Amino acid sequence: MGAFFASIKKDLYISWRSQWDVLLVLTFFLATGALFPLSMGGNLNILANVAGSITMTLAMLAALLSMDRLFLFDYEDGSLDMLSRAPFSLLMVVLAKALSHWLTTLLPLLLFTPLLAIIMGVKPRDVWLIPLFLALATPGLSLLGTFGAALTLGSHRVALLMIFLILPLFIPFLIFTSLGIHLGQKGEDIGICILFLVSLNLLALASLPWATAYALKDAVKS
Amino acid sequence: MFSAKEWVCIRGNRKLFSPVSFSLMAGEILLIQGANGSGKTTLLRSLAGIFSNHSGSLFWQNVKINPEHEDHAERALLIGHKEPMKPHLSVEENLAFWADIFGSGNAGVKEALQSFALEHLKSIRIGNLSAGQKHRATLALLRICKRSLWLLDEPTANLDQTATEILATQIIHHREEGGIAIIATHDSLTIPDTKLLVLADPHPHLNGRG
Repeated sequence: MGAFFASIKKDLYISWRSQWDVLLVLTFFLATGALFPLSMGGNLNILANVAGSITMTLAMLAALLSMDRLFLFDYEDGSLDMLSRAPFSLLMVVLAKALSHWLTTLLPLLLFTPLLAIIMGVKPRDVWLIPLFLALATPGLSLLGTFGAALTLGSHRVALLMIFLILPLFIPFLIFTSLGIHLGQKGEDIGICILFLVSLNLLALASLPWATAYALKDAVKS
Repeated sequence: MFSAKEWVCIRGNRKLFSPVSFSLMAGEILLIQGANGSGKTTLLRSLAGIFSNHSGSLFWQNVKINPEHEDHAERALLIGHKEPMKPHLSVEENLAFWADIFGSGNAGVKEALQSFALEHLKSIRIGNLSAGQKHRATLALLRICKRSLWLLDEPTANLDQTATEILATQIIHHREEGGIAIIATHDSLTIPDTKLLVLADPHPHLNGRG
């Protein structure tokens, strides 16, 4: 576990000192989100109904923007060579990377979703739905992101590959988030959507980190 | 004792160099020389258990070993051209991270800073150091991750006179403790009593080096 916490601490320090990367993702998220009410004119009712889908889509794109380089620096500077020969499994490194990505990239977005919801005309009593569902959906995005980043290490078209490889895998998360927020806005039961999102996350947690660790091991061998 | 028999690295279907054999007792140092592209880096990576496409056998204390196995990771440490140091973190923070990973704690960091005379640089971020200073900080990992087999790839690259002398002192210290070092180098690192291995091109007529 020491390695896990050491890796998280290192990643948090690095993000804190290179805030511009985090700010870029957050700015992209907020700026594109703010364009919707501007372009819809007075039809805020329509927008309020799809605010959940839009916010989740934007969060997915913002996440994708930050994912292609998750392991790139560790790969290029030889950190992965050292870590692959360290006295613990690379699994710890993968889990730490997914958690620190979520903390530094997706958590800040989550904190600003109520603001986006309000400017999209979501009723104040429904605003809580959006951060709730994004909180349930985004851990899976981080796990998928680490998986994609590890698989594409060494490739020259990482950003493009990530779109084709990882974006389709985001879709189940998008569907249940949008549906859940929509049902919640209509006052209907959201329990089933929450359960589906939790199970998707658990499925991702149970399968992806092993595959990611294996992909990293393979990448350093060449 | 660490020895290799008919050891060769393969990329694609091509042998990178003519198979090498060597045998090193505790405290012995092997210098590897060869032209650019002769496979020195890949040889060291294979001995460290990172590059896995090879043939031949390796022995540790006369027992055949698999370098990719985790037991070998506890014997060997490779410090190469790549510098696993983060530009946004200071020298001390970078070393502390690796000390956490390899379980050598604060004492390890302190010893590493002292051994490589880095104390005056410890709170400077790696990104603000010169190439030579950064490389010296990377070499300090030798004292963080203590292994009996040192695999050093061009360790004197970018180092000034003082730093080269510090490195030589550390290598001699390592040998006195019974450690083994395999060092790929172009220039002569001034260490007495070393063995020498020259990597030869296995296909001279194909590569036009004759």
